[in-house]
Amino acid sequence: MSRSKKIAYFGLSIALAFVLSYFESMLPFNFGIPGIKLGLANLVVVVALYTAPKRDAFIISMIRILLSGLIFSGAFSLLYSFAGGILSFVVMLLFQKSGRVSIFGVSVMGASVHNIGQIIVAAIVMKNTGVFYYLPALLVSGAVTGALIGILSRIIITAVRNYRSNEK
Amino acid sequence: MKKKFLKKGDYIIFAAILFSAAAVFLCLNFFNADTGAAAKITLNGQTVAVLRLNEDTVYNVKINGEISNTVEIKNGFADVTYADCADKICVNHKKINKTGESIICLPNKVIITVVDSSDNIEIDGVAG
Repeated sequence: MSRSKKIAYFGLSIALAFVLSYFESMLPFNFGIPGIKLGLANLVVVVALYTAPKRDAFIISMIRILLSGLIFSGAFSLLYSFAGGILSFVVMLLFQKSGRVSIFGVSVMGASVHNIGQIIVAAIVMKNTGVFYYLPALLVSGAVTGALIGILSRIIITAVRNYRSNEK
Repeated sequence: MKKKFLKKGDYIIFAAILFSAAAVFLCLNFFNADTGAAAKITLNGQTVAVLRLNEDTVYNVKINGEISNTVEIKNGFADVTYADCADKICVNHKKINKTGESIICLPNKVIITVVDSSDNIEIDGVAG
């Protein structure tokens, strides 16, 4: 990728993730359990993991968290977001490298581990292990939203590849 | 170029997550299903109040003199009826009465946990 192409790619990806975060923050999506969310922005990260260099995917993920954390949820929740974001990225990378799972499994793993990371930070910040009561609900929601994001990512990647090959 | 989408590992991962969720859920709810005796309220990790569940009462958690959360004890259950934060997750949370159950308000760092006895709990500080 040329330098200018790369700049455009980063800009587009981060903007897209940012818009998805914004869209998600508007959804009246409340189950009475903190931490349950669709994780739409993870779509961009999963797609990047499969289409761009890993380092770029990681940078996109981190900048996305920083931006949307500061604007939509406040600086306080940044700690949770980074813990979840970094943990989930590392785990997704490992599972992708293992070659034993498709993008579906990678996304499911990423979403679940993201929630586990947030619970661990919550337990540390709150000095209370009661937060682990939310673990089952967060695991199930992670599996479901992760599956959804995995399927969507697959559709997007296929579409982008077809588009690129038509262009040439 | 039709390739099978799901690999074997995908099914294993999905099943493993659901299984562990069920396992944790069962452990928390059935092996520890004792009704608690009191609700311990902590603010910023410090215990500010311990309310007995058998006495109906209302307790206001205050941060800098402002009421941040209202905890109501009624019919043996603890419930959060008011919160000054935006998300209202703790208000929407179901009322609790089993040992270990808790309602958590992340923005205010307030936690209400059901404990099995109101004895042996020291109150760390008086809420201002």
